[in-house]
Amino acid sequence: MSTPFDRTSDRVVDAFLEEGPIRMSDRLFDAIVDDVYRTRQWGVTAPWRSFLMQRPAMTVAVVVVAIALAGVGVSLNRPRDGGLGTQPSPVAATPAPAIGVSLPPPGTILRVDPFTEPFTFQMPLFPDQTTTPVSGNAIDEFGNPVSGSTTAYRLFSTVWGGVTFHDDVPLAADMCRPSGSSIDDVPATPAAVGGWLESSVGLVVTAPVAMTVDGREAIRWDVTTGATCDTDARRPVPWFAAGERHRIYAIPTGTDTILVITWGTEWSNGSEEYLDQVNAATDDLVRSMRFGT
Amino acid sequence: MQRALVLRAQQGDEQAFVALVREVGDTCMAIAYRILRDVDLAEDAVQASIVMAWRQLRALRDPDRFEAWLYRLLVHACYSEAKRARRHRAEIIDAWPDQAVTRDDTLTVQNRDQLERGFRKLSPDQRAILVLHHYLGMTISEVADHLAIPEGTAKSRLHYASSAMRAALEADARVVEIPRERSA
Repeated sequence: MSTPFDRTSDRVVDAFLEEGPIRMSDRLFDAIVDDVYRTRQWGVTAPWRSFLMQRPAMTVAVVVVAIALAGVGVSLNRPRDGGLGTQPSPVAATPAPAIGVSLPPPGTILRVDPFTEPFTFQMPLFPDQTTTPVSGNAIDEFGNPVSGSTTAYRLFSTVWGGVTFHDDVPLAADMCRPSGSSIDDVPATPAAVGGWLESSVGLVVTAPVAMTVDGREAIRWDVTTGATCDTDARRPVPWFAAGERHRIYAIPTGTDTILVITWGTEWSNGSEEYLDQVNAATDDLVRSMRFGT
Repeated sequence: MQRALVLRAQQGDEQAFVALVREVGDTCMAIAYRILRDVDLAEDAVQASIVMAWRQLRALRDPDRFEAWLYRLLVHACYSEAKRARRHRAEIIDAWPDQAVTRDDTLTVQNRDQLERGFRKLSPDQRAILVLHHYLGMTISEVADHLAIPEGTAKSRLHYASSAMRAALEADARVVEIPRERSA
């Protein structure tokens, strides 16, 4: 129970905190506006940008761009029913809206640097790549909105969802309760990742499936978040909302573990109709991962 | 209205985002100043957090929570600025140049000095709790929600911070004269 002194001091503290600026200066507003117009949003980053920002990746980036251009060239010259990367639909002739950049064609080798142990992978065949000249796809690094750190990498589509890669990031101790306590990093081994998932109350986890990735023993699980899971948009990332399905891969890097997670189309508030195809494509992607290359 | 602007801004519409900044920028400045007690640091924190919000806007999954999300970015930017300030500067700036300010006449000069000293002894996260609770009028659970911390943690930080401020006021009677700190 508060005492009269508490209430008095509360009022004084209120008065103390009332004092000070209550408006942003025009100078600050103008500086922010300048910054906004000069700054790209994450998620609309050109695919090569993250590579150019990394130290030794210039050569690889050049190769990737060359392969991507070659892929586009091949696809443009294919007959209409030519299978992968068929000719562009009429939409392709119009400029894409400025909300993203198409993913590179299937088969493109990409390198991911922002992890403790860099790796390459081969672009798999995602659901819309053969039929939709996608305007909303992107490939980028993205960060933890709280810490501001760039801690993850993703392939992202407004059509089919996304695939994210995580290493050296804090995670919710209970993925069903992202606002609760957190753990400092991805658990150290795939088996420990399994234990962490199993301990998340409200998360339905399937039996583990073993996979071999670059000669290492990885594990994957399918998870579904129960209706009682938090729906708040709180961090750390990644976090799951109620009623979502994901496939989670734990890949040992030697000293650490990388998590790969598939996502439905929740970015566009759609259903998860493509998730099974995304999972299958991501199986291929994970199997193609190579470390230290 | 705000939701529509957020959705447009998530599609890369700079004008929509600037409109959002017009809506929430003043509150951001007020919060940041009250946590940092320094106009320059507060402006840096506001600028950093708003630009970060623009960069990461696509990561915001619920457009209705834009403001809460932005305030969380802002508070963390304030933590960073406070850390930077500890490293690089020690002076206290007691001036609000080119700013619209409020001053409360119910505070005595000595009250103000004592509270200022008490407040500056608090850690940035304790200051943030006080500002969100006392200045913005948030409940403990709203504060916990905005800062993404457990409610118990918010409660204990607020308890500590309030006690410290009360102690500062109580010390008022014991202090004969304390020279007012001023910036150079």
